[in-house]
Amino acid sequence: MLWYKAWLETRSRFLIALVGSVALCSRMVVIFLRNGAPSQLSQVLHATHETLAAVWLLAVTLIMMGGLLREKAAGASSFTLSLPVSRLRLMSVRIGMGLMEAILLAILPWIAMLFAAKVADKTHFISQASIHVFLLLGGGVLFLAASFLISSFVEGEYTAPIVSCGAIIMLAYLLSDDKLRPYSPWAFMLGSEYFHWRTAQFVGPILWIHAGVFVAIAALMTLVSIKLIQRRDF
Amino acid sequence: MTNIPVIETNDLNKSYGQIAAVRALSLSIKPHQITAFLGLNGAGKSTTIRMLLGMIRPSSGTGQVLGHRIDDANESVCLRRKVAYVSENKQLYDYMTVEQIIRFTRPFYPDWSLDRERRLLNAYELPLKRRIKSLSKGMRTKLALLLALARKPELLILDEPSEGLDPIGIELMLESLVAQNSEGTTVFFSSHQIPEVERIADHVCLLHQGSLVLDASLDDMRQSYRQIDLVFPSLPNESDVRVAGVESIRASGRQMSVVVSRNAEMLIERAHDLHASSVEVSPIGLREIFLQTVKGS
Repeated sequence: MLWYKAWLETRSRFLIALVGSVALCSRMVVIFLRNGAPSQLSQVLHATHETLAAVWLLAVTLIMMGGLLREKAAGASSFTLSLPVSRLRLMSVRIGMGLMEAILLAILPWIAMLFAAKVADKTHFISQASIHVFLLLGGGVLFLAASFLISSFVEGEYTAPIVSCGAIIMLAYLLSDDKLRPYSPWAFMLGSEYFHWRTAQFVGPILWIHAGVFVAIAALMTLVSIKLIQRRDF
Repeated sequence: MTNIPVIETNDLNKSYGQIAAVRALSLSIKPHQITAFLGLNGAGKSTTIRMLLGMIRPSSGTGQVLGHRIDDANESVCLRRKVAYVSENKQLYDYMTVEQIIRFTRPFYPDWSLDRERRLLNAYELPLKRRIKSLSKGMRTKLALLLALARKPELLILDEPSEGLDPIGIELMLESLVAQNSEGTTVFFSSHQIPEVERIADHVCLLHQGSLVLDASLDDMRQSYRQIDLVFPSLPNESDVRVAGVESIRASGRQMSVVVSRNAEMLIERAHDLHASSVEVSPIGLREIFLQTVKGS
């Protein structure tokens, strides 16, 4: 039933984000194709992917606002903590639901983009789409975990997402330097490092190690979040 | 019927920095009774209850609820399965409807009774399809009570259960508590409402500034607590009348008003020895005992 609660808690934010990103991305594809610029479908999809990444990041930050500290601010944490479940399970379900919704928010708009292209009689390699989704999630998981972590120590109903947004902007800014850019999860999400605009193809090996590091840092942040909440008085 | 305490704490302490919220609390709550947990605002009642349920970790001391250690996270999960709890603020999830929160809560507890749920829904007239966000405070309190009372738990812990309820709601709540207790559930509730406590409680624990200052059965208190009004030709020293059992002394002019929890006869004898011209003994209510004990300590 914790999944049921997590779904009810996040569904409006998730559905708004999903409908919004699907509509926005498919509309962008249609407009780009109608205008003929960029000229190639891969370029159109990549350009739309960059917008999707920004929307995805905002949506995930909003989805991950919640949890026991937000409930504490709203007064409902006593009820949650009186349930016969451990804090570890409460948090696992929350991160699980957040992760599932984040994955759907990456995949479904891409399906919509491909469908919009198909309607315009343009076909695209699924593998290219898959790489984009992989990049989005590979870098995005770090931001997801960061939002989760921030919501585990910042009190207040709406404080955590505001702090998360600030932290994301700051991180993106700090890593925007040319030397640091390869280490930026935001740059990784966009995939601009691998996408060759003129040929409209992904070039060079994807830095799996970067993705691995992002996932490892995300796992560490999740662990810290769980420990923080387990030790906290409510 | 076993007499092992359902709640037992030994030297339980909780401090927030320099502020001690609960001090050396040693409680022993007998099973199958209704125990009222009294105290002024900020006395440490809610902090104690939260420690019992594993929401707050004690700074020191130990405690057990239904045989489960309160400072062990795994045992705390087991104890919460057997305990029904209504929190002080009665806040629930605003994004759920009444029906959804009942559906959500039900599967956590094997002792949930659909029959009770139906009865309480009818009695409290809760609108199933309404969002919790749009419920009045009274309705929200009723819903929180329903989620606790639809079960048959071993222990029912309620933190200010009548707050926000109208007189009819309070009446229904008190009836429900007595009914639960008659079926074997131990009830432990904090309250500011002395008349409620006097109506249903078997036992009273009074907390003041984090310390337990009174722990007695209501019947014993009714029998042993007395207010003794004395008039003297000239007022003696307070120490002259302070026999064992004197809880408070108020002196004004030639009159002295003494509250005793025991040894009333000894005090009367002492008053006669001190040439009291008038000795009047009267029974005392819980309200007076509460006020005198809190002022006295």
